[in-house]
Amino acid sequence: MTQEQDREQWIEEVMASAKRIERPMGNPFLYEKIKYRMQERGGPAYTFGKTKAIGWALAAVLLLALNGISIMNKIGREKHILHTEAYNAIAPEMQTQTIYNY
Amino acid sequence: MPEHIIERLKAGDEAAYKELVDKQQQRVLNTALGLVQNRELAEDITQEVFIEVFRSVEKFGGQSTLATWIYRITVNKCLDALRYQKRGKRFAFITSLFRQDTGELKYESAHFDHPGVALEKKENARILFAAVEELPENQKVAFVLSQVEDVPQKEIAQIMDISVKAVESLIQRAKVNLRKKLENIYINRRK
Repeated sequence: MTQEQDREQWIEEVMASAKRIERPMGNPFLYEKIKYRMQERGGPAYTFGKTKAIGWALAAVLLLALNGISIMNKIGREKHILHTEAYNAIAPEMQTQTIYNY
Repeated sequence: MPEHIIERLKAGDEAAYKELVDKQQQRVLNTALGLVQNRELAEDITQEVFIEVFRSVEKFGGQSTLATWIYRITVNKCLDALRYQKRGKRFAFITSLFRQDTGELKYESAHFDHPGVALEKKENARILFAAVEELPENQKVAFVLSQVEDVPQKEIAQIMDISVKAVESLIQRAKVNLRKKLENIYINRRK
């Protein structure tokens, strides 16, 4: 047998070694293991840690509250400016300004 | 696999969950073994596959068979694990498979022995799996599903969401690449 033939035969044997591989034996306790893993994570809806979820929820609530406070403050300030400006504009006509004429 | 099991799974029938795991676990494990080439990692992935199946069975619309859908989840989980291994990125579902201190994979795939290979073929299979490990991702998936799991090309096309022609081409290219790698190994062994 030439070297080339030998090489071809070897390659064919190696390539064929993956064919008709027997599937590994199943684990009779696999379902119990899966159930345990799911319970450990807090049920099927689990996506990430409980602590992490609570942390994110608190952070979101805090962020919303801070946003709310900031918006309320801004509205309050703008209302005050608008009132002052309108008052100053009509004050001379209304003669409601106090003139200190000593 | 009777398709009426889907309705039972959707209804939360625990006996159906157990039946599914018992009937499909070998298929899932064998595919995972071929792709990740590590027994412990493949067993972990098998558990993750079924957890994913239980979680998302409600969304399963029956566009493919249940077996095809499970294959698809298995392939995706294996590829995620392999990508994690390659790039060292963090994936929530799979963090348990990695060392917390270094982020390295807990399981080594070197000198992988597939438990289903006959004793006289073990040495050759070890060489072949080492070469398969170096294949590009999609060629590896197509080759493993076709050669190790003996899945028909039409089903592989559904699993990989590509055409049958593309599957044919991937398997062909995988074989050509493997032959090249094996030729080099043969030459090195002769030296």
